[in-house]
Amino acid sequence: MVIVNHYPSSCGVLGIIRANGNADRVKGDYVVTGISAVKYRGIGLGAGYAAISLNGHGNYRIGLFAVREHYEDVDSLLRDSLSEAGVRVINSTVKAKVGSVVDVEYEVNGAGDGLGDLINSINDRLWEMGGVGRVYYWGRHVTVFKGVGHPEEVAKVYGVNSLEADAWVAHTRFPTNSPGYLPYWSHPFAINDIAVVHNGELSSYGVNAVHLGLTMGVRGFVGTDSEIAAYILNYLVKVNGLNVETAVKIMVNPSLRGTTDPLLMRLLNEYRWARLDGPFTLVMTMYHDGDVYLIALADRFKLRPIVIGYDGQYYYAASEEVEIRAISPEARVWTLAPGGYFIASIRRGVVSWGRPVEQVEVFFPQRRFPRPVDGDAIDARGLGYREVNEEILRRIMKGDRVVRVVNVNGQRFIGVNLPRYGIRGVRVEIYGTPGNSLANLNNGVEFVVYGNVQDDVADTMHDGKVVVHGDARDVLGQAFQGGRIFVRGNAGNRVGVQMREYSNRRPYLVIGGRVDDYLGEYMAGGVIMVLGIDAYKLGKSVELTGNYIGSGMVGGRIYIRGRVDYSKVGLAPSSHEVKALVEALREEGYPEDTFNEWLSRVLQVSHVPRPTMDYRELTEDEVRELKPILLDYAKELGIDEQVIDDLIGERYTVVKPGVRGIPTPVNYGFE
Amino acid sequence: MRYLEDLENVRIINSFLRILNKDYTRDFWSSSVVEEIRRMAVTGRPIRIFRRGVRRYRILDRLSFGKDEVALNGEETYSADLTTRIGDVELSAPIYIGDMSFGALSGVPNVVVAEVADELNLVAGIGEGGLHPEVGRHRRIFIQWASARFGIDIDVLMRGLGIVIKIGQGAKPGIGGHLPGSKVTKLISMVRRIPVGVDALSPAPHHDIYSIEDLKQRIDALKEATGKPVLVKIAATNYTPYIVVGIARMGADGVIIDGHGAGTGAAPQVVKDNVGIPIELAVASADKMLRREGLRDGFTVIASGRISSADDAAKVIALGADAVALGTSVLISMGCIMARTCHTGNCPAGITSKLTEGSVLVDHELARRGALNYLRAFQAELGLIVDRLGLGSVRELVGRRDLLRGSCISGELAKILDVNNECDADPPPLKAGGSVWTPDYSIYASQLAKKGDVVITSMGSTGPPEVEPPKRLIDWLRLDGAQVTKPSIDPYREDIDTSVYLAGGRLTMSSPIIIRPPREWGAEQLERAKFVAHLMDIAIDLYGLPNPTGRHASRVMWDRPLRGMAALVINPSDLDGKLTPETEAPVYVRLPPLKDPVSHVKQHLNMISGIIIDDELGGEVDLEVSLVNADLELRRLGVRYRVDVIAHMSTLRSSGDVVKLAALGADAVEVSSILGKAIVPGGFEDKLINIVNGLKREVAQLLGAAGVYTYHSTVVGNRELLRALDPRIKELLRVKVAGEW
Repeated sequence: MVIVNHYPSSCGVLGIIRANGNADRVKGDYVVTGISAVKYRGIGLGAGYAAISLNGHGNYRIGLFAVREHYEDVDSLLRDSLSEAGVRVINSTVKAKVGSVVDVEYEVNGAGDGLGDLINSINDRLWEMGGVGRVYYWGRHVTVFKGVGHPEEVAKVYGVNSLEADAWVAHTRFPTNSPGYLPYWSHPFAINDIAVVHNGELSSYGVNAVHLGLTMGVRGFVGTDSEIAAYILNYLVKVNGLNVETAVKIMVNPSLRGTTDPLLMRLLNEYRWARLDGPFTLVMTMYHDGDVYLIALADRFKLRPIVIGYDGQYYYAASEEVEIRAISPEARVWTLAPGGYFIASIRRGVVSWGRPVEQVEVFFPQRRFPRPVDGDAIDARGLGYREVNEEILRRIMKGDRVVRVVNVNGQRFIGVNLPRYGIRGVRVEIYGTPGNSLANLNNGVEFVVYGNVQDDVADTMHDGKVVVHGDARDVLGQAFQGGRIFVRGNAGNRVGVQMREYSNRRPYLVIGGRVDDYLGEYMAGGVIMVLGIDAYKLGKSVELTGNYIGSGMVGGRIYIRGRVDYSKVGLAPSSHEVKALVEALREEGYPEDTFNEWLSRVLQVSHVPRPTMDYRELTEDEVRELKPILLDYAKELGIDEQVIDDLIGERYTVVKPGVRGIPTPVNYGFE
Repeated sequence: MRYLEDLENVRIINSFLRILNKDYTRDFWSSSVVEEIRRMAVTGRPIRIFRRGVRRYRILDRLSFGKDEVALNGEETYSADLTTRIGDVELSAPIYIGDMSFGALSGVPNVVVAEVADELNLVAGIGEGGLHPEVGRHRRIFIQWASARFGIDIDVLMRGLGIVIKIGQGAKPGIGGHLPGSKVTKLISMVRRIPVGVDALSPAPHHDIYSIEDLKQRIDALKEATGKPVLVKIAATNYTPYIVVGIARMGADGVIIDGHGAGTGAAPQVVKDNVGIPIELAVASADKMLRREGLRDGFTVIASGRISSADDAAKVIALGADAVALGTSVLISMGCIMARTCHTGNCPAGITSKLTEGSVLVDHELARRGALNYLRAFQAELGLIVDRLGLGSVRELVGRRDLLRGSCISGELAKILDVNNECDADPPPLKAGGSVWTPDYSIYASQLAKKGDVVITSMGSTGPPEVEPPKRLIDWLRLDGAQVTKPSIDPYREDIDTSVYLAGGRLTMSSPIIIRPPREWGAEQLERAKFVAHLMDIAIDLYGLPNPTGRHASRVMWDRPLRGMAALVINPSDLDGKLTPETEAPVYVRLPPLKDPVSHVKQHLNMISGIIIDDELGGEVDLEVSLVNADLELRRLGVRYRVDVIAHMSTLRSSGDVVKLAALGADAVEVSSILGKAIVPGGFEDKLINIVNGLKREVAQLLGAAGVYTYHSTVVGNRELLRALDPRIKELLRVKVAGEW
């Protein structure tokens, strides 16, 4: 365990839990439907499900995969190792025989606290024998069904559809390599009544794994990130006794840049081995202390997608909204903030919402979208993106100026085929939740979406319009260079990154709700407005953006209604560094009025100035430029013009590029 | 050259300039290599084949076809079929002319490359700087879809034979681009479609591609938009075989793997020298995994980076590439003299000059003739090699490792390369001796002190072990660069936490850097250095040096107790004497690089905050070995997060060394000789601030390149972030060999 093996892979994840003790148990059928909605996030080389029940078995159960021709050796190794430790197998059931693998569940008694170590050593020995078998779950509340195949195929083998549980996680996998096409590498990973699915790649893997190996004595890892996460959660909560929220906070690895809480700093350092780095979303379910939990967390850069949903019965955590919609079309959905975590349990309810609860309440209400009116629409149900796009193209070629597509759920790349045919000036109306990469390369078509859109909408758009009646997610309008993007609700992380203008083209992006981090990063032109319309109507004074606004911007303007603290603009120097600098200057006897100059000189990079910020009313020129845009926004989204007039009269935080070579005046913000 | 006629006062270079005299330990493209390419550029004829490798530390040079070198008279003809395919595009020879952008090159070479590709039925990648109409007139081009999408729209995409999604490049894996506004002239502005004078930024990752399934999404989107073949270009890094297999599974038509040392118009020197793995290992291991997964057929692998001759090409083809990309060598055929000034825009040969009035530009005809002749001669050499290997076509050479022989290629390297091995002499020594302060690193140190920021240079790496002979074990290590499976992070614009938490939180620092003053600094300089350490939120170790004032004590590590000091540094012999339960400050024990350093303090682990492994004290083993053993032993004892490990390597010369030592196990690193090297009399304090800032920013840059946003928890002891270029290093430092899986 000094040199580790690490296999990158990628995927789609899903988790569901009963919202409370009165809600129905969760049907396997739902879970299979949900994860199958993002089949395209996998490639048929791995899928799986884990079910957790509040009422467990009296005895521990151990799930084992064995390569068929070695089954007898593996079986006796397991039985012998267990019985040497006083653990007796009282029953064993062959769950399935798939390909070259036998899947067996053992019921044992006499197991105590040492079972985890025992199973680690069994897995270690099986690994040394060339991976002829693998214990792939154990506990009293968890059962795992996983294999090499698409989600429905694996479900069929185990009859997952007809099962019920209190919480589930599910996974479809996109492996890079598939050593021997064995199910060991499929997810979920489960130990000790914890099951984990994961999307992303941990750059911290080498530290996490070596520490678990050398200090905790866990050996024979199969080499995937979910496995590591399952062990970490197990050690933090079940071995070291941390509470669930603290454990999750350590794993999510918040930036220490702005943290001054000494307790948190101590915890994060004491458990340094448990902190995760790199892109990840984890969805975990766990039986602990008489309760069942569903946990979803996102890295602090929010590099992987994750959506939370609630429909009165169940909470959901999914890679894509379409998974939730496939199960529960009307569910209310929201997203995790960067570095946010959602924790819900059957007994405790929601422990953490994934972002401040006020944000969820104000910005993520249940949205109802107009239903399609009758008419000759394309019914997208059961169609792939190519078929949808071809039909849209065919109708436009035939002369239709408005094309309507209904029952959209997850089809990616809608409209991406149109620019190549020089199509402009037509309108495509979409009802439902389109998949990622809608309207990329758009050059003059109007897209109207009655629903939420997902990631990467309007990438490299040059002209035309995208109107979204719901929310947009991450990386909306990347390299957006002309035309208009209007979103009624919120947008996620990295909105309008590298927007730019050239010659007579200027792009406008208007968000009606709020946005997360890195708004307008690398922006080189164009205008972004964040309005917070619902908050305004409710008279709530809440912040409309996350951190790092306009970081690295070199052109363009960002208008955010209300006051934004300057610490959120660009990449502010770390508070620890500022503190040390001030102490040093005082100790050296420098006058206080030189501190800002020192700060600029020592902590600012001259070629990447921080953006500047003003808090003010719009100027006449600005009103002249922006009012027609906002009136168009209002017209498209059915908002009263009076509201627009009121909004125009409000004060805005206006963010513009700093000037290269000239340090941006800073308020060093101590005292 | 009508297309540039609106530029005034341009000086045209219409003959080759004199070659700079550089031996092969100073530049991969040494004078002899440049001369040979020039001869081919002038005559258009082959010169020799089966060249003996001259670089004993370059793995590709240690491979051969086991044939004696053949000098040619230039009249030889070949019969081998050199044609090959990329997707559905047929090529007359397995040559892709590398992705060099409009802006990185001065326009003329961009047009010439496209013209020559048409004339010879090869293909040329246009790079990411948009499509100049004069380049766009040519058919055999591949359009690059890069993170900034400069100058890209559907019409431009439809102009090419195919599309290249550029994830990374070998010279700077995980690093974005930055063309300062001053270089965004009228012409560049038009091609990139950005206003004149505005900085052109290319983010380090594509912000829509943070994983393999995201890349699939982009491939599918581009195919849906254009119907054209899509290649993906990646830098060769730790996970290359997995990434390449992922790319093939996702339905891309091929991959361009760009190896360590490839050319660039501008890149941070420490990234060039420390990140990424050699093309020969990347191609061999990717090809092998593709075959195992049944994905090799119909998928094109293009090897790029440091292909300096037809022999290099033939060898990487035998290791598993279908074709090679040529960039630097083609520029040399146009007159490049390796002045390495591309990033300044003042190219003496007019090849990478800034496109503005008064500039120097290479003559179109000179460049065209040179490139045509060179490529013809290159093809002839390749054809003759294929002939003499007894093969009918270059396609038959793909993956024929059995034709290759290795010289002292052992252990894991032999497994990756799968070649026959011969070893009649000793394998090359791990340490060649000599000063680490080469001219390049002396300039680097003074640049750091002058600018206080990441040092930018141009063209390919001149670092160890391949070019500069290795002097320390870390010279054999490479850091990971994030490609596809995770995004790299931009240290200037995004939140990378490089802070360090030592002594249980009693000593925290903004970066893992501790000032270790050179002996020659006087009392006043030491006082200033203490101030700078405090000002910049790091520490200073004054062990054995005078410290007459109590100022900035909170940042001072010293061998005598001081009120409010950062740490007391003692020798192991003092453990029983000096150390009393009343000792207030954190205590660090200074040890030479011992094989098992922890055993020397084992009885006192509960009384000390950490150890400082210092190679100034001599020692039994290399510092790197001692460091790894300390980290592992402390983990075994379950006290790693109570006992810190600090390293002082007296030959440390760059931030690359800092990060490597951290990944081997150091929480923080003491820097000394680089301070002495860079700080000359005059402006002491400014220079010290600059050098610390430069190192800090480069550390963040290297972390970001590897897709890491937290230093202390992620990097320290994370040997998975490293790869070794020799199996002996794997044994010594427990680091996997590059290309291993």
